Amino acid sequence: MISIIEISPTWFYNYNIILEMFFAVISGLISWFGAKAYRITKKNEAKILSRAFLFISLSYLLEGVFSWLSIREILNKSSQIPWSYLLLRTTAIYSHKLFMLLGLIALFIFTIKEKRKEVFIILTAISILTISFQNSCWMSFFLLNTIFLLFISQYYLKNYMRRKNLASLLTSCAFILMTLANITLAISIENPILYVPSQCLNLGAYTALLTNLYIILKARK
Amino acid sequence: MKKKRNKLEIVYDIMRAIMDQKNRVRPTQILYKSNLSHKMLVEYINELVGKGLIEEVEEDKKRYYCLTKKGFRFIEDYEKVKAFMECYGIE
Repeated sequence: MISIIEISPTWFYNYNIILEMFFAVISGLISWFGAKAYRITKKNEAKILSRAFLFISLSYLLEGVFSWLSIREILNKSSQIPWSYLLLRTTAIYSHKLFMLLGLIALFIFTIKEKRKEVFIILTAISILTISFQNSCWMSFFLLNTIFLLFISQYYLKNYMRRKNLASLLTSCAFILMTLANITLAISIENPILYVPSQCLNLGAYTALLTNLYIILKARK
Repeated sequence: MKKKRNKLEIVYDIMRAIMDQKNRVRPTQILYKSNLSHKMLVEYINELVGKGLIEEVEEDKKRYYCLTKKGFRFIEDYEKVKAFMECYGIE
């Protein structure tokens, strides 16, 4: 059972939780700034962006918290793996998958400038059904994420080509790194050693987003 | 062709025009910088004064406008939000 739900190496559990919290904080900050942008400009795109990053933040936050609780469970029991561990770990994984998909679908909808809520609902339903009825739900989850991220990345690459500034370059790089991380994560199901490099790619992506936010907040004209 | 400015962009242009003139500017200078009709400018100025973003001062029987603390904060926030929206591809 554990080998089915775990794809990260055992020695990496604690580092993984720290990374997830880091990703949750950065996504949360972007969501907060997006909400501020919406409050000032009343632009619907800012609201969608804010919600997308809120979902991504929640996905990492819930996975981090439930993973930490599950590790505590396993440390307290010496012999058998307790059912509470499996329950917490499963909750961590499925809440992460659900909110990550919601976040990426919202971002995808934002990049294609789609305004109808029905599109979001249909895409969410199709995505959830796809990962629910697959033998390897991790693989379908990472592949779906990769497809959404490919579209999002090309949008930000075009945005960089148009603006040619450091901030848009960092955003574009961040999404390209996230796409590469997801491809590596998909491969890591068969080769667990690749899990760590994929999280390093994600770390690079979120560091780029944080640097970007820092540049914007420090900017004085 | 240049895109038509929305209300927020016009407000920013008016306030930025005041700030760029060392925060003390005559209505005619704002009119010139903001590229608005006199009637529209009066409407915008009244709204901004009402919201506490700019204030009217009188010196030597001449009317000047300057930004309030709230006005400076608005410009700072708006510029950050604009940079944020640009890098995330929000038009």
